[in-house]
Amino acid sequence: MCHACDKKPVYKLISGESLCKSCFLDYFEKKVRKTLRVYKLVDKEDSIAVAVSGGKDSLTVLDLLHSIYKENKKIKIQGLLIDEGIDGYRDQCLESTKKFCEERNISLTVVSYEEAFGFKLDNVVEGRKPCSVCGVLRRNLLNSHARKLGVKKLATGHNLDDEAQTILMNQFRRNVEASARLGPITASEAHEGFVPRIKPLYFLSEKEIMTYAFLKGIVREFNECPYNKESYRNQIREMLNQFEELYPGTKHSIVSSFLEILPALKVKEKKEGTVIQKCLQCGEPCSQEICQTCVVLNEIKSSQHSL
Amino acid sequence: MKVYYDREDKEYSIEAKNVRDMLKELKLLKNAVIVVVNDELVSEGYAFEKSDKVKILSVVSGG
Repeated sequence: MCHACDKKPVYKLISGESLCKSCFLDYFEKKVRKTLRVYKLVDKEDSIAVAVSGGKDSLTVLDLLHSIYKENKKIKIQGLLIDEGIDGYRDQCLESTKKFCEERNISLTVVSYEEAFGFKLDNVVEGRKPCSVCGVLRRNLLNSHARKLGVKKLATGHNLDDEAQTILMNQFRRNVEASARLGPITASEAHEGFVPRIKPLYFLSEKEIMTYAFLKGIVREFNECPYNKESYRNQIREMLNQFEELYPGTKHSIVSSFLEILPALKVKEKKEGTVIQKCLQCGEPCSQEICQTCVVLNEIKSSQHSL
Repeated sequence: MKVYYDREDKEYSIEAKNVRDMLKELKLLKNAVIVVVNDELVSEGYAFEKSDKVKILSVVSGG
């Protein structure tokens, strides 16, 4: 039974205590509000674009930020969706996200690879790693279009699982520099062209978010990117889930201990990290002369010309 | 009893009498799925009844 009120349980916490539906929803929302407060993710006057994919995480962030701030005239929340061009997946997510935003009267901007780059992801993945191409191009469009929309911050649905996976991936690849840019808020001291990112679901696991999204009717249908199973991240996810099963609390421990060393990583990054400049080709902020987006686009264009 | 798993879009026949044993039988991890019985979320201690309609929903992010 629920440890707080004795009703039928729906969720068991890592501590072993069970919660009923209403106590779980309360626990979840308090945790999000605490993250917003402790890490000062939202200012008194703010404008935020939520990067939505149509999945449970980003729709939960959009739903929560919208409901927390809808009475506050000084804080504006809107959605930003990148349509990569993945048939049978993104087209379905796009329709459900449009409906979701219409029902809540939330403004939604959709930007497609096709209009921005002239191709669909599906048409350029052969012989390439889809998640690597997509990650670079998606980040570019989210940042540049958040800037075009004039928002001060970009909110994402990154959760405890995502962060624990990324911390391990960076360790395994000896990429300390990338880890210095993690955390619940990624401020953009490095360059004014980077829109700061906030992660309101930072301390919530995928299972907690799915439970919340199901109980609130936010998502009912399963929808997974067809390229997801091929990714390195998916292998790390499966390994971490195995560990979590054997040693509950593993993901929390990875993220909490990481947050203790993050200030030192940021100091090191500031002293020794690469200088951010403007890409010579497109003008976007980057750490090399040519940004990763232009490198990927140049490679795709040259392979299309050689056909 | 038959159960539906959304990530594989597949139906399985199981012997288990409760959620915990079902996940073991199907070799699924507790932290990777939620279980819905007759459209209601249940915890791992739930014991099945004959008429139950059971769905296992993956918690994996869309991408």
